[in-house]
Amino acid sequence: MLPSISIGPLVLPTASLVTILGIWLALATTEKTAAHLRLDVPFTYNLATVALASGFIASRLAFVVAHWSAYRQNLLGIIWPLTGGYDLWAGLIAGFAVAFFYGRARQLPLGATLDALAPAILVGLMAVSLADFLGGPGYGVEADIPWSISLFGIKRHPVQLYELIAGIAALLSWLASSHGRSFSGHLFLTSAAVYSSGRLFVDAYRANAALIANGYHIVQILSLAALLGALFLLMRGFTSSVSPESANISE
Amino acid sequence: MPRSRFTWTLVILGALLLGTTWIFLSQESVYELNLIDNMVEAPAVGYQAPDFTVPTMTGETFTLSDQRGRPLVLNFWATWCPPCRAEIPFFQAASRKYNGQVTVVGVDDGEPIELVAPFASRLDIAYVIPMDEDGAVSKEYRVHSLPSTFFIDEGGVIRYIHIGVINRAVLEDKIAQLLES
Repeated sequence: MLPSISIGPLVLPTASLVTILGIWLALATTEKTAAHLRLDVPFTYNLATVALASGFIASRLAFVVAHWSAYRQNLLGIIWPLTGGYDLWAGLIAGFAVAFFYGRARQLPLGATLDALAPAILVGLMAVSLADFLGGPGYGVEADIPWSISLFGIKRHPVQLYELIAGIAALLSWLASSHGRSFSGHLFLTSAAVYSSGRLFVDAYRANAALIANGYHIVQILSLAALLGALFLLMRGFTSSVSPESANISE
Repeated sequence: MPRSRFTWTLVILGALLLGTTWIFLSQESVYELNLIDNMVEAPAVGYQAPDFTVPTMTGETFTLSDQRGRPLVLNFWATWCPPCRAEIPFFQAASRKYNGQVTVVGVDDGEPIELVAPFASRLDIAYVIPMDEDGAVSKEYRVHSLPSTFFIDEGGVIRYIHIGVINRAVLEDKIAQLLES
């Protein structure tokens, strides 16, 4: 839709700008929600920052290791980030692992910390969807509906905007639940259930979705697994607890 | 929120049933998906790469659609652009390494042949250099900044777009993906 913005001689890629803005907003959100849930704000904020930084570095290193022959003669290229070259899965695994162990080392309560991090994670995911809408490679299936968008002469579902709506719905569910939090992890699980059910629904309208054998959407399968997991843990929380202090998820 | 385990079990089973049904209904035929999108030409991932015909630096005629049947790396560059010059060795290396498997093409953006030919000769560029002297091809591809590189599969569909300077590792990674697809 708008892959770049020209400011004088500078051409800035909107997708990268929105992603950076999303990271900043996610970190700012962590501060607010940690304070709202009366968690240790610096520790929670540091956890998010350390996880992000670790994920970023790990995704780069994994790519460098996989393509060592190309970097061997250009070691400076390893730390020059603008040329691209990141391994998403390595970044995600490292980010979550570091967050987990950092949280344990600092004795942060798992459920309550996840409650505080949920809005930040949602903001980050929404930024990714918006970046994809403005300058990414994603697009929806063909649709002749009043809200369809025209891409190169073809009307299509604005699938990334649907993802944004799923994110907004999940944020609203977090807000609504935060007034009557029943157990530690309640807010995270509720927003995870709402967001994953949203992604499960809207990914059907993505034209260039990642598929596994037989044409099934990977995101839909992962979303269903996340939805069922969240519902199961919500059931455990609601049927065994009465207050945030008396029950936690896997703490 | 319900507090009965029975109600929750019903909710979970309902989600499982509805979710599985929806996934089944959303199942796609990859063949059909590609067939629809391949009909449309656009400078975007998943679309047919816009066709063009221009003279090359050596005086031959280059038509993009003639290259179908083999993956192609389409790089937009210019002699005045330092990042373009920086990545030329990578394209040269790739064109030699994947000779016969992948076609590397460097479209010169809006420069006269008198300027490009000595430059290419000095750098010993061996791959094809179509001359987009009036900038029509880069306009068609919506190239707003140089260098920009399009990775096109053997069916002529754009699979990846890299805006800005590319490094050797990313170039080889994307070529490997093109060959795998």
